[in-house]
Parts: sequence; C-alpha cells; structure tokens
Amino acid sequence: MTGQSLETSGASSESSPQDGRGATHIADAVVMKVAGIAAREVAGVNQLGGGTERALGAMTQRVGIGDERTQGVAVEVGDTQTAVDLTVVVDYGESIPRVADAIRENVIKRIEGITGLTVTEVNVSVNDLYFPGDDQPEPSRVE
Amino acid sequence: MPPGLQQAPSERARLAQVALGAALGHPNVTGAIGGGSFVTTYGETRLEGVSATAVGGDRFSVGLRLRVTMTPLRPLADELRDRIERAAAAAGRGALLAGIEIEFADLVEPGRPDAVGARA
Repeated sequence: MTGQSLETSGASSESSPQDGRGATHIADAVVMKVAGIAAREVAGVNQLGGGTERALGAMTQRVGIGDERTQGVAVEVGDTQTAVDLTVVVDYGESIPRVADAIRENVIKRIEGITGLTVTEVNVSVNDLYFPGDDQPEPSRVE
Repeated sequence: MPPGLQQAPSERARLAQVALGAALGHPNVTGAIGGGSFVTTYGETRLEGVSATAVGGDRFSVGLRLRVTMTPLRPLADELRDRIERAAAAAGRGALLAGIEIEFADLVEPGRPDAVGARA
C-alpha cells in the first residue's frame, strides 16, 4: 500500500513554496484534518484510530480538548508533497480492499484539491471491524 | 508615557493592522491565530496572528497565521495577497509592503462549532 518516496527534508512540518510575493505555509494539522475528513466520507469507514487512541480520544473530546478529525491520522509534509498514514475501523460486511481503495482515492483527491500538495502515498491500516450493536451495553442477566 | 494616553501605532503596526483587517474580511478566513512571532503590539493593543518585520529600505514583510474554511488554499493565498496589497495601497501604505507570508494553521468545516469561532 505504498507509493514512491517523498521528496522532503524530513524535518519540515510545513510546506512553503515561495513565489515573488511571499511564501505560503500549510501546517501539518491542516493536512491531517483534510485526510481525516476525507477518510470519514468513505462508506464503510466507521471511525478512525487504534483502540487506545479511540479510548483516549473519547475522553479528550468529552473535555473539549480532542479533535476526532485528526485521530488515527499521521502525515509527513514536505515542500510540495505529503504522505499519509491512516488507521481505520471498518464496518463488518464491507470489502476491506474496496474500502481501502476508496479511502486512498478520496484522501488524494481532497488533499491535492485543497492544499495543492502531491500525495505520494496513503497507507491504510485496518485496526478493527465494527459490528452493529457493539456499542450497546449487554443486557443484565438478572433483574 | 502618562496614563490615559494611547500610544500612536508605528508605520509597522499600522501596516500589520491593515493586513490583518484585509485578511479577516475575506469570507473564507474565520480567524487569526496568535502566539510566537505572530503578534504585533503597540501601546496596550495586541494584534494576534500578524507580524510585520522590517526588511530594509523602510519596507516590511507581513506574516499572517490564519484559520480558514475548507477551500483550495493556494488560490486563497493569492486572493489574500491581492486584498492586502489593495488595502495597503488604499491606506497609503502600499510602498511599505515587501512580501506577504501566509500560514494556514487550522481548518474549519462548515457547520461545526469551531467554524463560527472568534475572530481572534
């Protein structure tokens, strides 16, 4: 699930193509949000993030300091290119290869459209399957 | 300075003020994010999210750190530069403007609570 190598300094967290009128920087957080939103738009994606990350995310969001849009998303941003790593939970019954391909396609389309960065790779890691009813508490065995 | 007297902004601060106002007037810009070098102060006034740095020859490079809506960012940066250049010229400060550095630091989705956040 990888593409060509990323042409970047590696340490850069912002892209800064310079023209005669000044530089434009795009923060990593912006690329992360676009990637997270794009991944969630795909049918079959239930949520993003690994188990621990989702549990921590639920707590931080409850107190207003977390952002679920960047949960499960990591990016490396260079001057003109970016690479994206995503961890997702897929709905049970969906084709994982189809969902992964759809995520890749949508993330590339959104990031390139919004930031102008070229996406060199989108690595998708399916961390879990979601079964309907998973989030409902088990009924008590006693009255 | 005696208390109660407001210090007049310098040319640098005025330019920063004009640039920030022009950027915040764009419909896709929802706020400016201060901190670090992106603060300009004069007297008791703090302009968050904008810097103006002397580059020689009585000219200043302006930097802005912005929160914007989901929109293509490179064309937005060009539009913002146009607006700022026009605003600076209208304020009689066009000759002071060197370059305009724009950092897109955050993105908001329409309909989310942070999309209607404060214009810092």
